[in-house]
Amino acid sequence: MDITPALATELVTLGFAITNAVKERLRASKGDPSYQPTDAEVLAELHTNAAAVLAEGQAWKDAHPTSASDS
Amino acid sequence: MRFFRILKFEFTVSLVAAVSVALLTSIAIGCAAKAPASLSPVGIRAWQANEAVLTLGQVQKSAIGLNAIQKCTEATPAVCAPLLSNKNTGIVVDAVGAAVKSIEQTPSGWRPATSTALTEIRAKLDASGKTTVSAWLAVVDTFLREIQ
Repeated sequence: MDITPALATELVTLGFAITNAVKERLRASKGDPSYQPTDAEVLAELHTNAAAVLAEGQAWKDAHPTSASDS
Repeated sequence: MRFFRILKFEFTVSLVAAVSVALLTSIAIGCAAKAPASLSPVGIRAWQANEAVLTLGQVQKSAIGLNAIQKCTEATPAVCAPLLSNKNTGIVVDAVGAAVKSIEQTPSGWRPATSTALTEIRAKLDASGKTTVSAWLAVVDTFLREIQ
């Protein structure tokens, strides 16, 4: 195995992308005082986000149909 | 020489993971994810469940991202393989999917659902997969503990 510039770039990009996504989420949840949702809004957001996570997983599985037996 | 290149590769992966984990941990500490005051007890449970779903979504996103990165041998022709194998990625996707479905049906059960998913991932990943994602899973544990 060798390090290529492309691999190093992808690793760094992935690390920062995930860091930024989580940082944004924490910032949103920590404390914008104007964020005062209703129960119904939060429940709707839960279903929307759950559907998005499930769809992302399904899309990956559809693209990798033999993943269970791959190594 | 090849041995040192492998070491260098592993070091790079570890370095990226360590830097990311350090950043994430520093963000997480003292930054508890607390439910807005406008919510009823039912709404608070839904909010906590939503935070757990988002965190699990990040775990899945990390796995899929690592799966998309190819590492190649220096031999000719080069042999390439995903940084996180398809099998290991499938384990993460399946565990996250089961947990998210459970949380969606029973938001108040988000904590045992996430715990089960992470336990399953840790138990089923092979040694290479554990090495690749262990740092992320440690951060996820921290995030889940911060949900209040």
